[in-house]
Amino acid sequence: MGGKDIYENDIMELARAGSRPRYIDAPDGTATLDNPLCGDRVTIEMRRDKEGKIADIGHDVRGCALCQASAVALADTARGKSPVEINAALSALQKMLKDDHEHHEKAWPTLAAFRSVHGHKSRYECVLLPFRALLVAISEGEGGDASRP
Amino acid sequence: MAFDPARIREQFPILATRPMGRPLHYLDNAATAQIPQTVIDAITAHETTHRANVTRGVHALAEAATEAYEGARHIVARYMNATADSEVVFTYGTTSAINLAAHALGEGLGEGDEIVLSVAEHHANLVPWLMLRERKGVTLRFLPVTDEGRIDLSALNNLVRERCKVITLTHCSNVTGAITDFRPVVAAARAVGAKVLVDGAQMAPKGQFDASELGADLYAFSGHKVYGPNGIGVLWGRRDVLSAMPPFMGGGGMIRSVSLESVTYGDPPKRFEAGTPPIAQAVGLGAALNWVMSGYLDGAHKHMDRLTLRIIERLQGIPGARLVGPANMEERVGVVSFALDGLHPHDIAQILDRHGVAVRGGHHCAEPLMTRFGLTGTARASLAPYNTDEDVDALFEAIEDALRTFSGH
Ligand SMILES: Cc1ncc(COP(=O)(O)O)c(C=O)c1O
Repeated sequence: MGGKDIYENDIMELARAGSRPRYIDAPDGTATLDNPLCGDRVTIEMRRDKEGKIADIGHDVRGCALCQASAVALADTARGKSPVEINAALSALQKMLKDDHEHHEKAWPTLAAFRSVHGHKSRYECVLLPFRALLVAISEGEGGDASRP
Repeated sequence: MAFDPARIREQFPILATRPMGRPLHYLDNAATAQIPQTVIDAITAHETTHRANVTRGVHALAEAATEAYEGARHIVARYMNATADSEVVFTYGTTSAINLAAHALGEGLGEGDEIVLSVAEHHANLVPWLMLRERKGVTLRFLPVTDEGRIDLSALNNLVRERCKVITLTHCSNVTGAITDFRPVVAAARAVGAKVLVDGAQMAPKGQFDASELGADLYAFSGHKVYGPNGIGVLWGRRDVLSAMPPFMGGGGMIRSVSLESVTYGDPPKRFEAGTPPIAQAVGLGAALNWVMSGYLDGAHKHMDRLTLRIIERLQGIPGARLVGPANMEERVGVVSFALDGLHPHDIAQILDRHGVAVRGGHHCAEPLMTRFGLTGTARASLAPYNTDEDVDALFEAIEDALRTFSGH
């Protein structure tokens, strides 16, 4: 339960974009994660540039509007970022959902759309799943641990 | 006197509350039904004046607690018309009852032995058998589900073969609301000497029944779906069937004697009740079943059928809405699953929540059934006698809102 309305325009706009799959050429890593609570499934593809930063992200979401919106926000947030920065973005997103902190919005403006999910605990995982999938895709691409720089 | 849901509502304190400042339209009764004041009072009274461990003490409180616990067993026996109280085993819920049964019935089984179940089973009546297959190498055979959402019993002839040891099916689907006709099931089982286990989680709340007349060998249900507390459930078994079953969990209370060299087990039901049982919960379950049997619910079925049909008919008027389950009231209960084109069930449930309408969205612990219908999940409205026309109206106002919110999505 929570107070605010989740389905604000920002989220709905992102979700509309995320309702169609987007695939990328020659991904360096791909990961599919399930949310066992609801049976949702997210596939994230990623390609990295020469410096190891994320060059492009594809997504295929079989899930709710929040998950779809998050996949699109992820593509926007992660492009040009390193795995360490993406880890930081995931932490910021987790904090924002949990504590409704404003200051994270400045660092990650696209993620601000998800402030309305604060308080709806059963939905946090819907928002986080694409981020988690990207980290697994990165680690798959590296053949190792996602949290490693 | 005609059935009046208002008289039921006033007995359920939670229905008068306003979660998040909104009126409560509780349509998630298939997940957990609400609890009437009289059951809350019975639990409180027990904990206030009779709290002690059972069977193991001679002091007055221990005797009173034992009497209350065994009294609850007697009420359950009466509710399901058991021949003896000893046919009633207390468990922690349907899931633990079915795990007990799967373990005990599966103990002597091995490769080549077969268990028949259905694609419509709740994970509680599926995963324990998948686990048994992993342990013992038994073969599982699945009855298909018709487009209407019923277990296809015409497949029994092909599926139930000589080596079939157990047929285990839901009495009523927690997704489609369809009631299973156990007559052909029992006939097929008898022909090959297989046991019949019934998952009664969704059917037991409908009122007193006769498990042995149904032809069941074992019957499982949960307290929290029959207006009782959670943490308590029942595995009823025919006396000869229970007597032949080895124990599942070991511990205090279930033995006859123990030495370092050997152990002998007590008789049913104690053999299956290792450790301190959920005592106050059993007392609460007894109070809940007494409440169901007290006559308050006379006429409730007609009321619920009418509301169910209203929901089905209004869904049929919504373009893009898909009912998963029978469209008429023949052999079905008030559990209505539906999908709305382009809307994820979680988003539907979330938007309904902002209208105070509590439904469930997801796979309802029945993933194979979702796959059967080509869905990842449904939204599900499930009724209890205290639901009203206002609840149905609120449901559809909220569905309209969901459709508006997602129009053009
Ligand atoms: C048909 C069916 N079987 C089994 C269960 C499991 O019941 P419990 O979770 O109380 O063990 C449920 C409850 O969701 C159910 O609907």
